[in-house]
Amino acid sequence: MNFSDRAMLVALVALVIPLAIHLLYRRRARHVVFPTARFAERAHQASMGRMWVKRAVLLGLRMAVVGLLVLALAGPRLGGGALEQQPASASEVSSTSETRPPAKAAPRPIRILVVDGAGEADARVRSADLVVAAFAGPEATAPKQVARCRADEAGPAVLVERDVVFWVGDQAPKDVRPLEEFTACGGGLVWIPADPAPAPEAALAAFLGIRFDGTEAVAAGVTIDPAAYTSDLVAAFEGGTSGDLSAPVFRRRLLLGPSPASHGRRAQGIRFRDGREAIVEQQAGDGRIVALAVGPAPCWGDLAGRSEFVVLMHSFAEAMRPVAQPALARPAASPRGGQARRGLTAIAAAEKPTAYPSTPAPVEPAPPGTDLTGWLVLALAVAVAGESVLAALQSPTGREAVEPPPEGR
Amino acid sequence: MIRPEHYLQPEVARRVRRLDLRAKFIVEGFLAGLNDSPYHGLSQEFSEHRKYVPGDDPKWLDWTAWAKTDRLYVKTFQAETNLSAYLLVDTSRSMAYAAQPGGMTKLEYATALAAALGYLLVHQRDAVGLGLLGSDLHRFLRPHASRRQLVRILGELAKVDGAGGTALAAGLHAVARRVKQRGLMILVSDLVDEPETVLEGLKHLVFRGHDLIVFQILDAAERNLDFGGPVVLEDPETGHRVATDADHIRETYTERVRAFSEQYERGIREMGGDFVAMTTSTAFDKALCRFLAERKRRF
Repeated sequence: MNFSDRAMLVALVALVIPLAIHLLYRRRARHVVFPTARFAERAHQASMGRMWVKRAVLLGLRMAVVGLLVLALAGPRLGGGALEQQPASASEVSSTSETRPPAKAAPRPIRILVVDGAGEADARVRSADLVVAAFAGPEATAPKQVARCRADEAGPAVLVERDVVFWVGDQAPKDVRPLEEFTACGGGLVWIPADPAPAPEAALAAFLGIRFDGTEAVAAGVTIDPAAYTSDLVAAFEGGTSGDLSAPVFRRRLLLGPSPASHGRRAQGIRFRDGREAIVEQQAGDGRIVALAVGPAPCWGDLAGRSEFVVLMHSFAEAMRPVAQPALARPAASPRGGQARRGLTAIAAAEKPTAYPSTPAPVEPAPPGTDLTGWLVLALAVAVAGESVLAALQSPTGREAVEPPPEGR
Repeated sequence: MIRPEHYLQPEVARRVRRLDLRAKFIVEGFLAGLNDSPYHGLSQEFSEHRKYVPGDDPKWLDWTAWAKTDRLYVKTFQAETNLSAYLLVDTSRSMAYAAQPGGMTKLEYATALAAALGYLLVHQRDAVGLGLLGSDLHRFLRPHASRRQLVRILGELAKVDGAGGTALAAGLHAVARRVKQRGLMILVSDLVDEPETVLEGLKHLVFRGHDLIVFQILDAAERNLDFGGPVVLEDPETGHRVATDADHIRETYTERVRAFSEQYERGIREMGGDFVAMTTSTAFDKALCRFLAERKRRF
């Protein structure tokens, strides 16, 4: 069972309140000298079992009321958490959550896949390694599990349990459909193209084989000065120097998701001072694609060492992740997303595991989580009603005065 | 001003401190309400002469009336005042109970009732005796039909404090052994004892030829268990305690108390006696009427 707000579960300590009331109520007994106590004792012995059961049921109902209220507020979902127990199908490279204390490791880590699309012939510093290294840093604000694979290994069995994919380089996948359906059902794709980069959306369209609306806006392409890249990008990201949109606005958009008005249309991200686009965002199905308008450059090694770059990578990962669950475990927000998920699942099931020797056998994705809040509210109402009835049955107001026996003769 | 009838209410009678006055007011209130009742003529104040008819015992002729009127009259009251009644009052510790603080205890009610009965009996020229029952018969007055006897009885009743134990059956057996002359036994008690043994004692009295009226006095709280929530109930005589929840046991408790009273009523009726269940809030005239009915049945 998953919860939207696990912190709310701390309120379960309130379960001790009805227990404390129950115990205090027992200690509050009044002492009365009563000549007919012998009858009270016999009546007590006769009704002790029924009394104990009634008290226990009342206590249980009161605790259930509190517990159900807390659970309902925590937003429970059934079934979505099954993916958390499944083994990762890509090789785990690093995990910042392992170094965290248990209390902070409670939130589900963001599952990141870094795809090395630089190609076998590329003898330069592998950019994917730099991205992976960025997630090993201490700046992470949320636990992350980072896996790494080659472009030809990024099939449905690997994608199915990932939240965010960083595609580094311009090597195309064998089959573009898994990536398409990954984003269609809520996954986040961050594309870091090769250097020099073409226009990001046009390049993505060519690279992924996906047609996007509004690609003509960047058809002219973007070229940048590699020497000024780092400072320009960071400065643009941090805000204050960008031309059209400030960095905080962009970050907020990333965190909150694109507005309905931007659906299916090109969304501007951050521009450099000279007006060129540095980062662009694109809605794709239920997910999003973010493309950096720059690619790996000779200065990338320096860039990866900078704290700003690490912050940028973490921001991307946290902003692009699905809200509560892995992309494919979430219920489809649209018919298209549902079809896409089923399509990806079918591909994953049909695909031979041996096609990806570095990954374990693909696993069956868990069914989408079922929202249990409604059921809990119903159970809460039943518990409240039962508690009220029981409390009314034993309240002093329910007493009836007993008259002395009628006069005989 | 309080009318005499109001003294039949326990809360009104309780305002009178002196027991003799309390008894007097109760009886006067009772008699004031009897003007049109079927019991008219049973007391001294309402006795009358009737004409002599052949067959009447000449010793009851009123010669003074004959001398004045030259007619023969018989004093009827003299023929009705040959009753010996015994007031048996339970003075055990359980009787010293009142649910309301400062309220009338069962013992106060019992002594007021016994005093009123004694007052009524003496004014009818009946002989009245007294037995105080606790762990045994610890005080006993033989019956006499005199004003001084009433003073003695009221004096004894005024001294009871409800500090004794309960062995009601032993006291009843003791009374049965001591009283040779047949009479009317009036027991005023809460009967909180083992019914079998108490009924044995009452049976002993009936076996000796006595008539029997039993007034069972309980507090209303004892019948209804007028408490709420968890309570620790302590038996004043045994000190035994029971911790329970009054709300939970009320139904069973009241059934048991009712069965307890019904057991006494059934047993006493089988003996030919009379049983009257009362609470400390019951008006005194109920008991007095029952007494007069029993007296009438006897004569």
